[in-house]
Amino acid sequence: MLILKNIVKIYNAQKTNEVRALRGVDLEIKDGEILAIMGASGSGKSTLLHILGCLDRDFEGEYILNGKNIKQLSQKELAMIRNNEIGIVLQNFGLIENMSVADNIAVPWYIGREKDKELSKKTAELAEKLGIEDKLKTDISELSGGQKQRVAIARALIKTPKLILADEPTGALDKENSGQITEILAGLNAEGYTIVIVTHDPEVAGRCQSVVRISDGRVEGK
Amino acid sequence: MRRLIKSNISDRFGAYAGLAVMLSIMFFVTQYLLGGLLPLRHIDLAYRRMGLENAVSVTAEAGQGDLIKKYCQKTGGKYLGASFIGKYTADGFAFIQPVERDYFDNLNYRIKTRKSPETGYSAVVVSSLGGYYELGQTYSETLTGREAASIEFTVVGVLSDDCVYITPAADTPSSVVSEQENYIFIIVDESDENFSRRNLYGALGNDEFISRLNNFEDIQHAERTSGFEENRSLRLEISGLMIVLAITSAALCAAGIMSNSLLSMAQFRRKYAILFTLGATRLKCAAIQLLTDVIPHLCAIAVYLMLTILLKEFNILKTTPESAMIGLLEMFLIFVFSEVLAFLAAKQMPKISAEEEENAHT
Ligand SMILES: Nc1ncnc2c1ncn2[C@@H]1O[C@H](COP(=O)(O)OP(=O)(O)OP(=O)(O)O)[C@@H](O)[C@H]1O
Ligand SMILES: [Mg+2]
Repeated sequence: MLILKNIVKIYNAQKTNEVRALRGVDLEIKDGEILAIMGASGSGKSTLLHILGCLDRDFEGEYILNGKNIKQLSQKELAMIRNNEIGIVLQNFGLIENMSVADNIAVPWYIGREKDKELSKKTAELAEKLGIEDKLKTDISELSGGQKQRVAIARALIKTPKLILADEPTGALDKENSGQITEILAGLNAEGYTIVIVTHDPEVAGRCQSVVRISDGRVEGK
Repeated sequence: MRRLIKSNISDRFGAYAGLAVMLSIMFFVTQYLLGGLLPLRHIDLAYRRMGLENAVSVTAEAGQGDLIKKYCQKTGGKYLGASFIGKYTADGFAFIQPVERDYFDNLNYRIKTRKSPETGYSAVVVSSLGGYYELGQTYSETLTGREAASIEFTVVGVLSDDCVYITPAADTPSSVVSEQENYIFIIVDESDENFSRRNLYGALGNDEFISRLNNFEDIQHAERTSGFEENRSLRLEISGLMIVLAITSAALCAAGIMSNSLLSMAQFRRKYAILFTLGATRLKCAAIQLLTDVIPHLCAIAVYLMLTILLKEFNILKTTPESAMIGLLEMFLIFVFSEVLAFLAAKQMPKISAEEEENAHT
């Protein structure tokens, strides 16, 4: 699915506040894998996820995603990849206020140029799959944390991407919800999705096929 | 994309309502101010119509009537007498004119109606006795000039509290002071409230008389301005004021629009970071931002323009098209400028805030 070769990421290069966030990361993630990335705060997990999510093209090294060399793509092509090939679950849900659950789930379609006639049907199906089918018309602000995370996952799935990235998906949730969300992600993996989860929670990591530990910008072990 | 813009607009509905209120208030304030300047323009025209370009005004202190009389005798001027409130011009117009130097600054002109009288106006009465003359009423005024005369007229149009149109009197004396080159109005400098006709002195004279008059030490602090010059500077002042007001109005309008854009961007930072993550290019975020604001902004400007054109009562476009056009042009330029700025800023935003979002986690 994807290969990272000697990724180096330096923030504020050649300035006094230079930060070497990643210092040569090699990583290969295979199709259908579920992988946890763990590490201390500031070790570079989010930076790595940023690069994996094609949000950042400004790094050294090579990132091959589905056979495409990310560094050689234009901003527009990167946006297309983010929109179509990657589903991302942000730490603080990253939902849009004053919009219904259904609209939030459909946002990746609203961004894209093309239309999906089946959109409302697909939205309803995903909502049902994640157990929020009765909330479709509700405003985001009226949901609980667990429900919000389900909406965020549904949104990540609406374009049926192969790769799902999740940054601390259980960080803001209680133990029960945390367990449920982990089960949902594991279930998705069983359906064939490739999943990368950044987490601090050993229980979440325990449900993953493999765990990568990052320390000080380097991969310590897989 | 339409859904996203729709959501943006509904999020900022309150701000747009505020902007609309602000623009409407500004419209009326500007129009009110500009409307207040209209009588000045009419007075300016009146000066010309009356052939009074050479009228000269002198300000003196109270109780100097006798002094002035004396000077008139000494210098060869003709004393028109105290209580001078007006005169006839050669073609039979009555003109009652106080010309205190700060007159135009002190008086608060307010327009009542600019309806041009059906009969066509034949004279302009300018009086500091605010609201003294009423529309439709007939008045009889005594004009103390070289020869005392009285005039009866009906007010057929009210330009302002201080400026009315009247009908020509049937028994208009042909001329009182028609052949003179210079008219001198000596106005005792008092506060507006105490300003009465008794404090008006009139004198007749030519340039020589004026220069001699100016030499008298007793009226050394007297101000002397040629009516023509005064008029010209007044006219410049009017158009200057018009332009200043137009710029102010345009700047306020642009400030409203610009702050709306900035606030809207601040409000949507997080939203654009999310959209960027989900696959929107920065250009697309900026386009969404632009469309979010441009539509209501154009509506606001269109309403502003429509009010300007449709409200004939306040229509400045007719009387001072140049300055109004300059103002509008400026408004348009600032508008384009602020939208471009907002677009560029919005283009930078998603990435910045996406990074912030990530940093916030650490
Ligand atoms: N935009 C940025 N500009 C400068 N430095 C940055 C930026 N983003 C991250 N860093 C730095 O890079 C390093 C790695 O940050 P990163 O966010 O990847 O850590 P993390 O492993 O996700 O930590 P946490 O578990 O707290 O989320 C940190 O030292 C951080 O200060
Ligand atoms: Mg992080």
